[in-house]
Amino acid sequence: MTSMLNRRRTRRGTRQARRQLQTAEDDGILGEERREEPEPINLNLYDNEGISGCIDLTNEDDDQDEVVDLTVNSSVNDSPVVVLESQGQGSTSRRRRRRRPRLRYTLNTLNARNTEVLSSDDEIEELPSVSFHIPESDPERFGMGDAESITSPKRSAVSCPICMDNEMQIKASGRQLQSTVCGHIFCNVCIRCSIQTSKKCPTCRKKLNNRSVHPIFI
Amino acid sequence: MANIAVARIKREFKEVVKSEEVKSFEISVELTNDTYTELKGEIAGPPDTPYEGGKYQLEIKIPETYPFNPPKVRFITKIWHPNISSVTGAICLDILKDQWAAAMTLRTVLISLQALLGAAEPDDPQDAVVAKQYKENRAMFEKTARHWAYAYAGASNRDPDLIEKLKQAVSMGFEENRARTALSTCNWDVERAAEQLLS
Repeated sequence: MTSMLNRRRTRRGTRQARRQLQTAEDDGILGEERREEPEPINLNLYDNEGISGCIDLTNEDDDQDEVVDLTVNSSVNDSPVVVLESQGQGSTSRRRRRRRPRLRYTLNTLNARNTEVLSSDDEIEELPSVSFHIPESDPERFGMGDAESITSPKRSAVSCPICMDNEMQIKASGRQLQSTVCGHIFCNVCIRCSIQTSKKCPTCRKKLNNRSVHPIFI
Repeated sequence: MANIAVARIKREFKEVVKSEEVKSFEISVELTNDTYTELKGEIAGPPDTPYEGGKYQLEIKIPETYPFNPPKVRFITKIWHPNISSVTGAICLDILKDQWAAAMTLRTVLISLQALLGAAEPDDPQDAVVAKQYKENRAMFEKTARHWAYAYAGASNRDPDLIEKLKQAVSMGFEENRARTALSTCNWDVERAAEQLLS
């Protein structure tokens, strides 16, 4: 569930990122502008300031590796938009695929940080809150369920039908529970004695040898 | 006796005492010595059989190797049954021989014996004479078995005809139990029984 949600979120993020990139490509503008002026319409207006703004954007996200990668590339060409376009033709498709998630991430985190930008995209604002709720509640619920099933009273009903000791007594005396290939459970001492004397399962009389028995962990 | 055998019998004893069959007076077990090597069992004759109303006592001897080998069980109470010796009380039952399994208990043995009383196997007999009668003259077999249940197991169903014949034999000077066995073997023909007793 969570992973699906995340994926959906990131996919939406990509779409938005692509959209933003495209506008940036067309106009040679970067996100820095937006932080100052949240509305996308303004982007077109601040053409000249946008170029300088791109450097600021990358500087802010220095703590995030993904962004640093982008900026390193972009610094060469002086614009992050050109980075994607100017990469080697042979490896373009592959690199793009690899880069895209990074871009998405950068933009998403950026948006999450700056509420002004967030307001420009409603979807992104909603989705993270959902994705946070599920991972917190789910493991707890499952954890509770497991605990209940483990401590069910049926567990103590397992016993060796030969010595009639129950599971606790068997383990306390250093023995272990073993199952035959026919699925019948005994303590290791009794089933060994039994196979030595009769070579048959003490419960169903199926023919057994020493290798027809294995430990079982209930 | 080996530790495992004693521990098992102690636990089985509790199991039998708590069992439903004991509550309904179908089976019971009691100790006859302190070492748990010998016990006395009792089973009720199952309903709708010639043994109905009878109580059958059993001698149970626990071997050293129990429960990996079966207990030695024998009828103390005399019984007329194809798979039980009318003389010694020895039992022919597979689970007390090669078909024994270590997961079986005193309770399951007693219940199996009770089932044996209701389902004889004349083709795998312990007592050949009884088995022959069972196969050739079923009505006579049931009459005889019922009489034995009355005479030895305390059942209330008495057959005046057979009792009269027994009295005749006893009046000839034969001991009652010997006379009863001879009469039973000879399909309650007093003359033939007398000949057999004299030979």
